[in-house]
Amino acid sequence: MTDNYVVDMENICKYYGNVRANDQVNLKVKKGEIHAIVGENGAGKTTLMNILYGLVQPDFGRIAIDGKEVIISSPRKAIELGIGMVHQHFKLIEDFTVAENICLGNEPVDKRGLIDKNKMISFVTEISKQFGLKVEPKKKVSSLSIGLLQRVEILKSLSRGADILILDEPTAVLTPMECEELFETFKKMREQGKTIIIITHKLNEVMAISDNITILSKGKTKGTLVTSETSADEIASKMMGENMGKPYLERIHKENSKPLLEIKDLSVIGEDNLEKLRKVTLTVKEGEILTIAGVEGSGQTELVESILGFRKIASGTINAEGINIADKSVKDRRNYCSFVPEDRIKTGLSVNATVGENIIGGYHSKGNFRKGMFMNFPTINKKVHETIDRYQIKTASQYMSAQSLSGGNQQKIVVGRELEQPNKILVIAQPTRGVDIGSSRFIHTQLMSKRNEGVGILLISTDLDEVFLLSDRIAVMFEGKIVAFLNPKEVTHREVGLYMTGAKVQEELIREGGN
Amino acid sequence: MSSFSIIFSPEILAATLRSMPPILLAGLAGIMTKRAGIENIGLEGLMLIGCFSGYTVNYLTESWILGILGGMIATTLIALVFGFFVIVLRSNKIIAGVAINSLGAGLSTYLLRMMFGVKGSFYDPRVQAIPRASFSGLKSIPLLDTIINNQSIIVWISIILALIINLILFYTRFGTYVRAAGEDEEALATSGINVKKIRFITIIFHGMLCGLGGAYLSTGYLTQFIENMSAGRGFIAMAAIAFSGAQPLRILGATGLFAFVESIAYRLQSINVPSYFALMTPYVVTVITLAITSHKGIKDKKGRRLV
Repeated sequence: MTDNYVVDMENICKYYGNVRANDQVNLKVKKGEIHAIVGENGAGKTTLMNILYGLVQPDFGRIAIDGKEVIISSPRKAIELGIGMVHQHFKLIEDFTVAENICLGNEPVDKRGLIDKNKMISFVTEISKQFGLKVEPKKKVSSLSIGLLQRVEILKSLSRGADILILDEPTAVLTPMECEELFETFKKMREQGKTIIIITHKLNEVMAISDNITILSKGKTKGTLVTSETSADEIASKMMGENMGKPYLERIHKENSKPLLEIKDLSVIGEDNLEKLRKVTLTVKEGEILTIAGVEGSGQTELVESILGFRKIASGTINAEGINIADKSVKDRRNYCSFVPEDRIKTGLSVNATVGENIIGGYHSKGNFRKGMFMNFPTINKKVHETIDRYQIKTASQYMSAQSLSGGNQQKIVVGRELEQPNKILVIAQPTRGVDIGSSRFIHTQLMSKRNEGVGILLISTDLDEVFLLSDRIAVMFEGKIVAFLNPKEVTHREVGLYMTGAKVQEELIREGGN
Repeated sequence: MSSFSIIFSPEILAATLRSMPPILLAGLAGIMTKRAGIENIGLEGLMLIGCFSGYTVNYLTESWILGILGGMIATTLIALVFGFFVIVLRSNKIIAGVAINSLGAGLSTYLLRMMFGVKGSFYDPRVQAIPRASFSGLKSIPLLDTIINNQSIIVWISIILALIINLILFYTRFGTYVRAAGEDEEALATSGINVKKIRFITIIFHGMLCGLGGAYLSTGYLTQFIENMSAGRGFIAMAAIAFSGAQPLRILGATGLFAFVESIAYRLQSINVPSYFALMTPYVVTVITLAITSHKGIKDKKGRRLV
């Protein structure tokens, strides 16, 4: 029976100190199927896949590929066995081109021993055609959107002859459109006989795309299910051991709510001299969540960076609580705006600092955290403990480095730190990107309760489910312009999708360049 | 006018070429390690090792070529110590680099006293200078004859090495992996490349280049060993690396500038400029160029940011 399985992992154990990342985990994957591995953050999914890809060595356990028992000592060995992996945080070299990245480690060389760039480019064009994944080989990776980066990663694995492709949270960073494309790619690859293993915690996607599901929880296997014979509810309850209801706090409507964040005619010119924002005008009022929906790279990043002062604006005004902050320093602006950036690793956290330091970071010189020229550690520690408790941050202690936490818990540090500030405005980008279901629900509930306390929230999200769950108003952005203001109660996903891709615009916004 | 003609004379250009190789070779060595993400600030110390061992082996074997090889091997061994700390033990690069600098200065001075029983400097007529090259075709052109003829072969070898290293870094697999190791070692590792191996090979190249530079100083540029004779050239090379953006072709220009200033410094002493001031010039120019280029560097890299 076992020789039917292309991947057969048995009794895999991996301990980090006292933490049992994998505890007698079993995984059996059939050839040519799409197999989903689901579980909360920290359930051990990524560890298991790192073991399969040779990045981590198991303490105990048996791995068989195509029925043959193997020891996967390094990624090189995994590649030889036909295993490819697309990591959640892409492992691409930013300064290199698409072709250089895809061919890294396999560069074609000419007779003189020099790299044959033309051959490299034609090779990439060829495999790009073969798998129906369009890329521009000569473009630098640093200039690509996240969806394209992922495509490059997938092509990189396929180009090495991967028959088993592991994808860690492949849809966490994609727009709905890109997700659908990706799923089409998966199906095409399945037809070509490739085996696909996806790690995810988005159950609707699991239901839509997978053939079989393995559920992990706290480092243990909780069973393997056949997708067609199960339901999202069953998976969720196996994953979390309980049924969780939808978080929803009804908005408290207030008459004459004050505008908190007013942006008028904001334009930004990018480093490539192209207009990144074109006369963006919007207002976030007290006690509302205004969501900017849009395809990745439509100007959301530039908008956020302009508001917080990381980016020079070409023209326009930004008022916070009636005061023009467009000329103020980042530090001054942070007295008005709390800010959760889209990239928690690069911008939101100092990953080498401790959890505690990250919880007060940026606010360390404020209020009671300082005593003369010294840090006031009793107050700081009290605040840190409060935040860890209130935001359910799972960490062994406040002295652990932020790096050692799972993605969801890292995000809770950032969200906790920012929501604990008494600011009236919150700018929050992709709050639940790569965050597990439990933590996502928790963060969503926190945002709703902040809104009900009267905070004005500007939410940037590419996840339409999230947009519809949280927004009081939706502003759709396309190519640096706001193309529609919508009421989530009156529109469908599809309609928002049409605005997001530029297929539809609200004419009056374009003519006046604002609302 | 007369001082102008002293500074911009063919002799000065010849002197510039003569003083270029140590800075250029150390600079190329530094580019290699910087590109591989294991930047070594211990170039100065490595060159001193090269100076001493090059001179000593030359003295013992009475062969300039064995002297150079000895210098390169000894320097590479010390460079491998740096490599072991930084690549295997993952120690702090700066601290390891500082240690190499101290080691180079201390070890060469100590061995000089122990082996030859002299202090300050050592000279022996048995030591053979690295040969010089002349091109008979240029003899008839006085200007080129002065500048190009009668230069040490290392001058030309070091310039060719700059071209070769440029080729390696940007047109070969190995060079691609070196750059990838510096940009994102995890990405390289997941592509199935052994990052440690790439870095150790880089360290060997880098040691050989520093050793060649050092051996040239003590058996080509001069034919004696003087304590601390590298005189900050390893640090000037680091300035040149920053100045050139770690590009092997551009560092040719950068080291040319620094070598030019160094040559002028000697010349200035002969025209009533206080000698301390004159000797200071190369270092002052280094600081000024660095100030200018690093300012530009910030704009280049993070142009979209306000700061």
